[in-house]
Amino acid sequence: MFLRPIPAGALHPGGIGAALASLSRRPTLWVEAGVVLVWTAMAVGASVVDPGSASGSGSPWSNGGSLWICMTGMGEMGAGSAAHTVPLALSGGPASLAATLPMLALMAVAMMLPPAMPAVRHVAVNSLYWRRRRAMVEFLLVFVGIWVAFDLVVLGALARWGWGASPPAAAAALALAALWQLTPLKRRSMLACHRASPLPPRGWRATAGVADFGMRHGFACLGSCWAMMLTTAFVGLPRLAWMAALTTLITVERLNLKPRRTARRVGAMLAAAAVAAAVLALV
Amino acid sequence: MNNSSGVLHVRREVRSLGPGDQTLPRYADAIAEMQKGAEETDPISWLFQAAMHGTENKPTSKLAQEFWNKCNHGSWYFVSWHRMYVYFFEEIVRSYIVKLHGQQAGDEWALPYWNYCRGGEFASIPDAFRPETVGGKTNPLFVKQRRPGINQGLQMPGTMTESNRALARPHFIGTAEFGGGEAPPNEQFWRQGGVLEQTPHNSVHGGVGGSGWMGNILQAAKDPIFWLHHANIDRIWSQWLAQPQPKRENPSSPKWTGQHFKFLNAEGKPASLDCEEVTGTEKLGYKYDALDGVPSGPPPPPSPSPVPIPEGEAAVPASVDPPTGPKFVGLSEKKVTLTGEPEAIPVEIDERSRDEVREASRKADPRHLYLNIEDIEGEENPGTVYGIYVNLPKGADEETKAKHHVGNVSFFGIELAGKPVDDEHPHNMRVSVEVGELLRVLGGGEHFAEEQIYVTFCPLTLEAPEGKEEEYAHLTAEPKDEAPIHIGRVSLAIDA
Repeated sequence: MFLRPIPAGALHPGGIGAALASLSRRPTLWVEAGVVLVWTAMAVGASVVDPGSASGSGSPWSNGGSLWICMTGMGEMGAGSAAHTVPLALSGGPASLAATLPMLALMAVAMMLPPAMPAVRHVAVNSLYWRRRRAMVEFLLVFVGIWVAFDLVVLGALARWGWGASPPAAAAALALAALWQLTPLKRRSMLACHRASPLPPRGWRATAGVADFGMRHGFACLGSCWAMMLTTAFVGLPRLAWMAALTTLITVERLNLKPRRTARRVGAMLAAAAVAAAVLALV
Repeated sequence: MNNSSGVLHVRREVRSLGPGDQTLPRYADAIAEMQKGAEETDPISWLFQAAMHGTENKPTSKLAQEFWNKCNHGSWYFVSWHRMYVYFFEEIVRSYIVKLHGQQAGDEWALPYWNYCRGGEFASIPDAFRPETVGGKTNPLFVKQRRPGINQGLQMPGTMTESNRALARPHFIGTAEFGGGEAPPNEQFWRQGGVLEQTPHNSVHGGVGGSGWMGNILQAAKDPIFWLHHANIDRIWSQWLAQPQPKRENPSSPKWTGQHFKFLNAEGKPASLDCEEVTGTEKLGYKYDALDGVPSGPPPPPSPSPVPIPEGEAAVPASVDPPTGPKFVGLSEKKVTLTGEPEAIPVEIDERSRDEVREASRKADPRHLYLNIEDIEGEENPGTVYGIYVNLPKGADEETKAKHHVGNVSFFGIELAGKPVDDEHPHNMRVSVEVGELLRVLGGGEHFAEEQIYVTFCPLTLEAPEGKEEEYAHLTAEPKDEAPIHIGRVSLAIDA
């Protein structure tokens, strides 16, 4: 609801046709469709590469099923230890990196764009009408770029220390994510996720304004969610299910109107998962 | 839902109360008694009631945690939540009056309203609220944390207090409409305030409070005049609904009609109402002496900037939540900082949209043109209310200014926009006003075909009573050193 006078009682006119027409006029429809497409491709790709892990069956920790590896090694790996496959993803030189980057970008699109849709819409509807799509692309490039950079740093660290998915590592990562939910920095980042900034109308100022907003929103999002995202490197199967669960948690947290309460609840869930992983590690 | 006594109480205009009338003295007695109650633990104490609207104090008791900081602003729940709030407050005050002066006194008492919309002397704070002491005793109606000069009898200008612009809006829902845009419930300060909320509501908060209590959501309800102000806002809602052409309607969405809000009744027990239950006042056991706020005597003076309802408004087709959002056709390049002085900013109309603006500004075109003041940020409310003017000539006299005036921007609530007290997200403030009619007039009557508009923000200052300009000169010269307000962008939009 914004600006336009709406006669009382006219909020809920029925009609599938009207709903479809309304949907087709959403300025962010192509971004939303893109997210759905990426999820579909990942589900299909994962089931082709590793049908057992995609469906959630099979041994949870035995085949190096970290999501990072799932993404980076989707086309080249079958089974193998995380310690083995992660270096493979990054040790193949520029060609391997060139193949990795799009996969990381797709992962960022799949997981981080759903919670960022209010920001994408902000960019769209607050730009001059003819500039909406361009502004959205500019925002997406910056926002997704920040997450890709983060992914690269994490992958580098994993490669260097040879870490991969295992119950003890998962328990530690989940515990860290749960603790992060309670910190003032998390709270500050969540608040920053809701800050808009004015977008200049045209020219380089408009591009700079959108880029500035993309940076602010990207770093706020990173500050809020980095610990949760890190768990994807250590939690085993089911891969896509864990990605979907995290995406849902992050999106709910972003859209909920009671941020502190929601962050605590998400933290409790992560703590419960950490305990479960610790029990698995001890068994 | 009805009041406990079954009596239909009549809320009267405060200046129509004759000499010897006991309405205000009994209100003062009740306040003095309520002020004895503990803020945290006595739910019908003065400070607890004020904290339900907002407080900077951290609630420690369970009761306080449940009921403090629950006001709804910047929201389509603004009028309904405040009607409930004032209704329960009135019941509580009446219970104190019954205790102090007997049942009959309680049955006779109703909260008066302050109809500043009449302008002139009506726009000065009522006499009973000005002196610090009465008969050698502290005056419970007096608060010193008000704007300088207001307790000495300075008047708010008509542009700050008029309700014509709000009354003229044909629809309830929308940020440039009467009641505000759809917003989540229980948000102390959202960003969907309507025309009534901006002026006269926010403007009068700033006009009376400045940077003092009435100017701050977290302090406002501690000032006894707050309740008379909100009784007037409540009356204007009833007045708006009673207008026949076009027929005004409250929202019918279950999200609005079925929304419950919890309060405390005269026994201090939890009680709740939903919006549907408060769409009329008589079912709550009260009515106004005159819906137009003029119980007797001559009619109120004409508004300084009468806003005609554009023809064809009623014929606007029913629409759902516009999926495309507003279509921005003109944006300012730079930010503006307001520090108490007039500021002007150009808004260039995008060359690809000029034809569309020209067409949309025609009388026959059903589309609307809106001016938006966006991304308003500030640490605190400086208390200054700014008039918004389009293409205001330099050195314009008051009559010319009135012709270019499109609305006001007041910063009541800005502290909460950036730093919410409760578990809420921050956001920026924004104000929207419809300017299609004015642009058509400025364009010569047919349409508007200029390449840009100038938007000027002029601080509205309190005025001395007529004939007393010299006597009040020292009060009308207000200090200019005030907290800055940053406006990120000014835009022109068409509903897409």
